[in-house]
Amino acid sequence: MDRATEDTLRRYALSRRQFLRATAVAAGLTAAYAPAHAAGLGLSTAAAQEAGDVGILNFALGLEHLERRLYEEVAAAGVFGGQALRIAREFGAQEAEHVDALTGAIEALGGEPVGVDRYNFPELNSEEEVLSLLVDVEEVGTAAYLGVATRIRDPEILTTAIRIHNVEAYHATGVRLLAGEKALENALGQPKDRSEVLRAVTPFFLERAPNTGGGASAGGARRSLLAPKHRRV
Amino acid sequence: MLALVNVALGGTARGAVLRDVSPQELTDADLLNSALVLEFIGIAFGEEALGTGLLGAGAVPYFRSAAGNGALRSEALADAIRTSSPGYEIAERRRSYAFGDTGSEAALLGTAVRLGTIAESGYSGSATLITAKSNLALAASAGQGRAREAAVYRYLHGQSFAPDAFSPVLTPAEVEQAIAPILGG
Repeated sequence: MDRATEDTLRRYALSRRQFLRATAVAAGLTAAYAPAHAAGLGLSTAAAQEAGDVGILNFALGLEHLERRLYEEVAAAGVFGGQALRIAREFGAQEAEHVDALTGAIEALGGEPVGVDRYNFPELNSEEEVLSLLVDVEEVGTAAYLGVATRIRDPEILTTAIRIHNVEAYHATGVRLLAGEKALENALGQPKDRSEVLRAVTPFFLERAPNTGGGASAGGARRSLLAPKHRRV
Repeated sequence: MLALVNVALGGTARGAVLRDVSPQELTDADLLNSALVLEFIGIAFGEEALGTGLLGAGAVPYFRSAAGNGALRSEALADAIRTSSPGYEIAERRRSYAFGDTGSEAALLGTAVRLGTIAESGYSGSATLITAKSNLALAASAGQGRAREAAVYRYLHGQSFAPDAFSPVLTPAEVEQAIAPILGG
């Protein structure tokens, strides 16, 4: 496993047990991309790994499910107030529109949209840490779309993907500014291929829930994104 | 379609030929050249805006970053044109552009938003017309850069980072129409 993946796991794994588990999953993915090693990860299922526009759209859909769920958790956790909360809700609503658009496009092509996964968002101790997580996730999403753009065959799908990609760039920029980070460091966007994206997001996935058709969140107890002592009343 | 751009820039006879060209007949070099014109406009506006002294301290660093980014994108676009179409007459930056009202920070930010959106939308609108994957990758990457800048300008101007779930798209003809007043057309 490369250093970047290990650093990501260390940053987001809350316990040694979680770290070891995520490490094993990530190593399995990196080594073989075998769905059997990561049966719970929607992004790594055959649907999301296949070549062609349906596979690309499903990969993007897996990421959009993740982002939508993350913003839902952030908005519900009581971490943000004022402008940050408004922006989180706005971005979350837009991720939901992306989910709908990608799901519709996949179905129009006769494909099966990947469902929602169970997520392993870390318990974070401050608004700053939550923003940092949002920056990381949005940047991966933006880079992912850029990484697949040249592989898309259908012109309408390419246009849709580019339009979503630009909005992910807006989101990344927005959370960077909220986090007090630099926002215009690069003249050109930097792409990531699917393997790089998988490595980056693996820490956030638990085993996959039964396919719910892409609508409702996966089952299981709802954990707060923010550590108990730091939640707002 | 790009005839207006080329003629305004003192272009060659190719400009006249392009007048009746459909979007599908535009070459990668044509599309990247159009993007280059948009980058020159962005750089020039940024420099003019910074020169007014009217930008607040919060805005100045972003305008500077964007101008620098624009210069890098311009180089990349020009290189790509030379690679894909040796001998193609590459657009040059004009000495002046007609940016309209530059008399207040609000006016400057409004124009920055508009220009950034036109550029980002133009890159998006050209994506399906570009044939070489390397050129598409460049256009999408450059479009992302412009998208980030547009988001910052909107924020500085009191607007939402992301007004909509899907970014806007402009066809090459719509881009030409949008920038014609700036080029004096």
